[in-house]
Amino acid sequence: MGPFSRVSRARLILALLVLTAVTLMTLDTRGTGPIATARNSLLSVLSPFRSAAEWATDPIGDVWNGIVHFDELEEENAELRAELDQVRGDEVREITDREVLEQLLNATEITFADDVEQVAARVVAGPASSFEETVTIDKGSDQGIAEGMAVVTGAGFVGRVERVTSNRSVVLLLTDAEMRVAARLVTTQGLGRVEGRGPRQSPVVELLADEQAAVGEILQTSGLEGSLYPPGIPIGRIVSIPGSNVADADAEGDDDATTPTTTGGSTVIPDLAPVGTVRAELEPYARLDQLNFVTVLVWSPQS
Amino acid sequence: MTLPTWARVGLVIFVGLMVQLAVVNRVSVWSVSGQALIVLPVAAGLAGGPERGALVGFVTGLGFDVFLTTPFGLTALVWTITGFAVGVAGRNLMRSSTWSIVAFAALAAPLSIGAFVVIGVILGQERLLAAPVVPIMVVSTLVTALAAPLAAPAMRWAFTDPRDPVPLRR
Repeated sequence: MGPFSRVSRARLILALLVLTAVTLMTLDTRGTGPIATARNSLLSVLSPFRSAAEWATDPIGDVWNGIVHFDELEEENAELRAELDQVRGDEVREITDREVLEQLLNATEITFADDVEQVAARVVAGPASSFEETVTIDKGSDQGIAEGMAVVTGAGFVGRVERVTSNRSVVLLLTDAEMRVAARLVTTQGLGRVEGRGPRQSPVVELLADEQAAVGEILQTSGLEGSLYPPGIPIGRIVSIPGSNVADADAEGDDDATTPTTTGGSTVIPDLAPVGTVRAELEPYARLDQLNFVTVLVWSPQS
Repeated sequence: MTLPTWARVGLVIFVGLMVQLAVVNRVSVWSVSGQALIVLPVAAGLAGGPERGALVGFVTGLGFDVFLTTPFGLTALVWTITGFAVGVAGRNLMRSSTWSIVAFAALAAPLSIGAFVVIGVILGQERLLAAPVVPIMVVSTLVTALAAPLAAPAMRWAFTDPRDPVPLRR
């Protein structure tokens, strides 16, 4: 084979491979069955090898993280000691706090999907890339899990099942930038949408501008008809309201309309005409960076 | 028993994939982990030329895509082009020294991640922009450069046919 034909052959192979990749992407994006099936089958086959490799190389990761994150570990240790001291000191108050919490739960009707079938699962792997916020759990379609199902911990909403194999599922976390959850304010029942913003960033909730949003307010899944998730799952609480992107608010010359005021110890966005949205930062109740066990709610919008 | 070339290449890719998922993924710097697997198409491009670079890039990328939630084939597309480009650029090298492999790997890593983000966003994956792209590029460059001296001999072994008296013909 001469040099020219070798170059032509290499280009031909490149073109074929690029075309194949583009075709795969197109079919996958359109949700074509065989591609998803093939991908999940491969995941099913490779996952046990990954688990075995992770088990075998566990000490390497631990040593590295011990070296690189030594300062953070020391800080965390100090924080934990302080927390422990506080817990000891607060033992007396605990009973009262529990009663208050129960009252809050009763008042806010957070039933937490106790009438929904649940599958407990263990987190066996983190994300395969820093571009996404996912975890892999050790349960799959054999246990009744399907794509789109909500995943929770005892604390609240974790994410949704993104992909399923017979014995593994990939869960897209609440913090992933692709995540959207219809939400409801517990106090006013105002509707909003929680959006993930990617790694290392708090999710935000987007509320209609005429909703009163206060720091500390609790959000739960909306339970609207056709909603993807069961109603009443705690998502998180509002920790800050950086401002609002209310259209025409400045044009009306009403500074108060966009300036948070303080009422009763909490920051409150005053009533606004429904001409825009308010975005507030959210702290998820579930500790998404320390997930060990989760629960999948075997629930679909049709059920 | 002598393994055929495709089996040796497959073995190297499989081991590389496991090392990426089990080790490199859990070694985080600045809260991000790098993508060292790109070193395989780079090493294949340098050791075997553009054709083999593209083929190894495609298979490696597809293997990695299995574990991602981005469109199936996105990584394969980017790494196919990367392997081919390195193979073409590597033709001008008189001899593939360790340093040249490290240099190619360190250059290919951030470029391929940039291409991954750009093509992904074009395909509607805006969420890729929400990730800490620059730290991922930096960490990936470091881990890929570190992995290059290991990947290069592995890929040379995979491409060398013991029955062939003239190994690694491009």
